[in-house]
Amino acid sequence: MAPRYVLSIDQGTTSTRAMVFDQHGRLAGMGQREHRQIFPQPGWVEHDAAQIWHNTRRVIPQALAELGISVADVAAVGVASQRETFVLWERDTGRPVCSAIVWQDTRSHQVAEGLLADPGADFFRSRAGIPPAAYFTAPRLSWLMADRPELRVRARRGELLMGTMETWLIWNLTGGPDGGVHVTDVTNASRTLLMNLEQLDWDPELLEFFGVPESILPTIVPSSQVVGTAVGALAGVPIAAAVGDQQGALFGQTCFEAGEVKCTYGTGAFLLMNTGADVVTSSHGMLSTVAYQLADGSKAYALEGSIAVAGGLVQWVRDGLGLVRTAPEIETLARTVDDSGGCVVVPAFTGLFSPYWSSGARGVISGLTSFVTAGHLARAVLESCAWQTNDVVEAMAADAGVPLKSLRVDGGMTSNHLLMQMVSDVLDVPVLRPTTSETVSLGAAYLAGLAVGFWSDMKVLRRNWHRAGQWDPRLSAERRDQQRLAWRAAIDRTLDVRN
Amino acid sequence: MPGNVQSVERAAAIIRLLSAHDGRQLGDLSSALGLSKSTVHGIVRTLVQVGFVEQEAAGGGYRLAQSVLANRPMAMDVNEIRARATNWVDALAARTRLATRLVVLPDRAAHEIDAGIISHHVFSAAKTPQHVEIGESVNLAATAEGKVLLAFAAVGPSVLEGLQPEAATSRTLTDVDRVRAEVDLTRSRGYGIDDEESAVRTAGLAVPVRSHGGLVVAALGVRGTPDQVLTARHDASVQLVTLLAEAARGTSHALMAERW
Repeated sequence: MAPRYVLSIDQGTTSTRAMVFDQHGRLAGMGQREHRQIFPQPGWVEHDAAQIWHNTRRVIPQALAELGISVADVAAVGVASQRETFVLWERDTGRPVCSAIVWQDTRSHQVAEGLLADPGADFFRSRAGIPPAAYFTAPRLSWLMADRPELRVRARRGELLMGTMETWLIWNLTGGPDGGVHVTDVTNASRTLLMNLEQLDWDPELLEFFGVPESILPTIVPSSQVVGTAVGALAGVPIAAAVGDQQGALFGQTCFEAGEVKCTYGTGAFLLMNTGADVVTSSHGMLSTVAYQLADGSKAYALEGSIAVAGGLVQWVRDGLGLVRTAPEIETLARTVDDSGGCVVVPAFTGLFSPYWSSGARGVISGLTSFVTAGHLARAVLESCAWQTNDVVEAMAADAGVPLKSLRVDGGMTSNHLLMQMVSDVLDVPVLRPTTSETVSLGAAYLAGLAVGFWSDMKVLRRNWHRAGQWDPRLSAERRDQQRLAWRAAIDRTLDVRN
Repeated sequence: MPGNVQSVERAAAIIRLLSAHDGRQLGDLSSALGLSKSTVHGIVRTLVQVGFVEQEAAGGGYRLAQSVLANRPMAMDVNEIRARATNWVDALAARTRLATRLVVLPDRAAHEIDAGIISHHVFSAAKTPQHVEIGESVNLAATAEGKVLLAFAAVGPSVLEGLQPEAATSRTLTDVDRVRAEVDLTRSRGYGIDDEESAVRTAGLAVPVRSHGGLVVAALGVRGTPDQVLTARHDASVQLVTLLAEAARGTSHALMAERW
């Protein structure tokens, strides 16, 4: 009997999960384990790569057991991963020689700020599509090599391998020191600041600039392609996909056409727009990245915009202000009033991301009068998530030259019915939510399934997308313009360091 | 004869203390009962979880929950219920390709309740135009979810007493005695059926969703055309009832989980 399932590994920032999907793209089984967050110094964030690999080996059988299937029922494995986090390990033993340095880690912040301020900073954007910020891989890798010169020596001798987390897991899944395959995919490589975005290969000048020896780097492969065969618990199963989490979500949402956009609402929010076969360079502060590349070499690029604080603002209302006991209760509180009473909240807690990119900006609550109650404030909090989404969407649409037709959403905050209506009202387009909310894992499963013929083509995947809910715009143009003016005025105050 | 259950006795004593005086601290309760703080804490924490006791934000004192005092149906916020249940309700829709709904009773005194509220709604796989029905009312006597709530919710009997059923279609039960008999039938077989009673060419099936101690706090239902939901003899599809029961169990776990 032909295998009936595809398995995804989602190596995330807080946990590693294995998920099993059926032919219809429905989640059928799952295993999950959290790993330790290590904070050696303020601003430093590390993971233990050995623990992550250990957890991966545990969650795979867990997911299979939950569904009661054997490995023979698994057609392929895809790996989605937190992006930009990397580790170095010994080629001969598989032992990590450092902690995995996480994307949230700010130890290379000053170096990156210096590079950003340099008049030549456009060089990075023109080669890699991204600016030299601390959360991309290269500045932290460069810091590590400078901090521990013996690693550079060992790297030059060919004793060490480097990888982002999908690279580390695939190398181990395919045998580790005993024939492990050392690869990364185009989407993950596009976040290292070391890959040439047009050629999809390591850029010699970027490697030289950051002092990275090419011998430690994995081979860059398409996101959907059989790269090896698993040994151990998944013995015999082809490893058929690797993808960065946000690009995985874009694929899982089946945003295959240029102009299609997804937004994942978590603590922050990530918007990606498929821009088709060519790189679109942003003049509005968006990042250019690879959306995916298939085994036949066909590829799509994407623009990415991020919002630093979305769900995090609701957590602040809960923990910082104590206005609600649980995050979803903010909707109940917000529904006690009909509008925000003129109140506007801009949650620039640690500066503003896209499209403003101001690390000096600080948050603002404007329009406060004695009329404003907790309900108005709750409403303003939700509206700020909608307007931040709109800022990114407008910038993307201007870069890509196509207006948005609809927005596909996923993530925890999509269960907030009022917020989804607000997003639709503010963007003035339909907002669509799919039944499978685990879009990151689903995207990795789709990419793996395509590579082995489990799914014949992308049209089939489109048909799997089942609309769970749709919100259509209801706000009058007049009200929208009023809100827009108030939002813009509050943003201006946010960007003014004196507030 | 087995002896009394000690922890129930102690819980009752704590409730009596809180009904006499609000805002008591953990230390007050423990000295009033002559029990260790850790023992009292364990019981109070359980009472908070099941919605009998609330902790005041400022000062951290304990008081009896309003919903218990006023014979109101719910201890959990309707939007929190949706956030917790969404994965299961979504998955049920994906599996059955039918519209799914999670329905609760509004947070009001039982005699004021005349309709259910849709806490969560997921579209069917059909391409037809649909809108998100979250927050809308449902006819208790006509829908499968409503019948389940009348049959199983703690305030169900009180709600049923004051209910004046409204006709939605020619098949809606509007005679109070017939509604009563239908609710009894729903209770005995464990699920509710709506056979074109709330809308024409629409049928529904629903099962109860239980929370702490087995109390029913919501009804989980599917809706579609009669041939999608019912057999040729107008009975429930056995396969659908099984899928509903499975999703309802998962939803129960999600509602009771401390962290989610």
